[in-house]
Amino acid sequence: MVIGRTEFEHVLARLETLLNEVWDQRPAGAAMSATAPLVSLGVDSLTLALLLEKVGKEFEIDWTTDTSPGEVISLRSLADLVVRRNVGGAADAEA
Amino acid sequence: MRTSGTYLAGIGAFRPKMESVGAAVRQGLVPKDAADASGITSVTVAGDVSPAEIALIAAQQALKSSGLSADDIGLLLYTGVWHQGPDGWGPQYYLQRHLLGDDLLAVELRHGCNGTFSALELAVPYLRCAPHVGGALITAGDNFGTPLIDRWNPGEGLAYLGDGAGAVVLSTSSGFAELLSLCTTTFSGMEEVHRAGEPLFPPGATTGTFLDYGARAARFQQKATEDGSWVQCLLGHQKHNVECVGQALDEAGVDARDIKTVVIHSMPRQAAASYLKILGFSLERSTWEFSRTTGHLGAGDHLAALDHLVSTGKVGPGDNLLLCGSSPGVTYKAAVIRILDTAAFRNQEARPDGL
Repeated sequence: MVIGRTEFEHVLARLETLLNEVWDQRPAGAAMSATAPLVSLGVDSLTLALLLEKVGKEFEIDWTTDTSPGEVISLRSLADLVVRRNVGGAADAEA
Repeated sequence: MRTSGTYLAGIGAFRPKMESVGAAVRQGLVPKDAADASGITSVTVAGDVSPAEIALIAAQQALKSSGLSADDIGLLLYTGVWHQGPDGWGPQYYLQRHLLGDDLLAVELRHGCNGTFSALELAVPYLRCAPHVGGALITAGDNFGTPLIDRWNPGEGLAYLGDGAGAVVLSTSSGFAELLSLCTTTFSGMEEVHRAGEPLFPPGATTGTFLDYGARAARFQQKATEDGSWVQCLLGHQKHNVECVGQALDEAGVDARDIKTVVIHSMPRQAAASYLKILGFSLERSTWEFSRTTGHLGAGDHLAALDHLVSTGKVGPGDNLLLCGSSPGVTYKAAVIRILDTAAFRNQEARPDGL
């Protein structure tokens, strides 16, 4: 039996890929905790800005309106935000 | 600001002896993993020599290479980021006494790590309004080997601090490079990032408070995360960087693809790579390889790197260079220069052999 990945898992995987694209100097073999604050993993603020830009473009997030306090901390919180927006968007479309 | 018709006539730099980051690791001054991640290999250390003294050495070199005389200089703008000498004393007068004489305007300019850019920005209209003045001298010098700061713990995104000085002579007649444009933007919404958690009064320097940019930035980040403004700060920072550089390129009439080298502040490898990627450049097209050997020279990074480029033949006639950086404010600076003739500068590179 094959169990498909959930949307959340897809988004999380994609976010990690995007992070790897911008984080040129990611330490080799460094474990990636989805729940750890990105800054605690060694992601500096400029690299975080690059990631946010990429995430915004890919998932059509307008960061001037779509964020709420404390959301951009970890890959998990970013994924939560993306999925929540998608669910909200779908609900809006059905309404 | 469109600045064509303004020239860099002479340049000089003083780089004292290098101290390896490896040695600092062995002495327990820097954690090895942090040192490895930074990519910085050494910093320049001036010992007990004052910033004014090393600025004088760089200024003498710049003046000599400009072909101008001390009498030709009508403006001296002296920059630095750390304490320059006794409080209540102006280091610019040290250069007047020992090099330039008294018949000129000499001002100390404090504008953080972007002080050299601001000095250039002020010198351009000054020269245009004072056609009798042959040139302006701009210096940047610092020695971080003092109490109240730790060169090995500068804060996130900053390279270990190096000592040194740079100088440039600006002229409206001729030079080895033409200054094509120079632009500034400011993101004052992040003004607090460089002071967070500290009182505005009395100033920390008067109370013996250690300068810890890392702790201030961490406090600012915590607060901005809690009030929901952190993302806007990050993206605003990026937006201002991009806009400033874009404006400088546009006003210079130079396409980013035609930039030979990007001259940057000394930064840890990842910070430099991200900074450059935001602007559309790679680490390899920048002066990072040079700056990783000096550490962050305060306001002197760009002059030291430019001196290195022209004196080692790494740039030549027709090459366009982008100089850019940011500093507390937050201010963003970008300038475009075109190299005209570097023959006179070959082999004059500052030797890192101390005084």
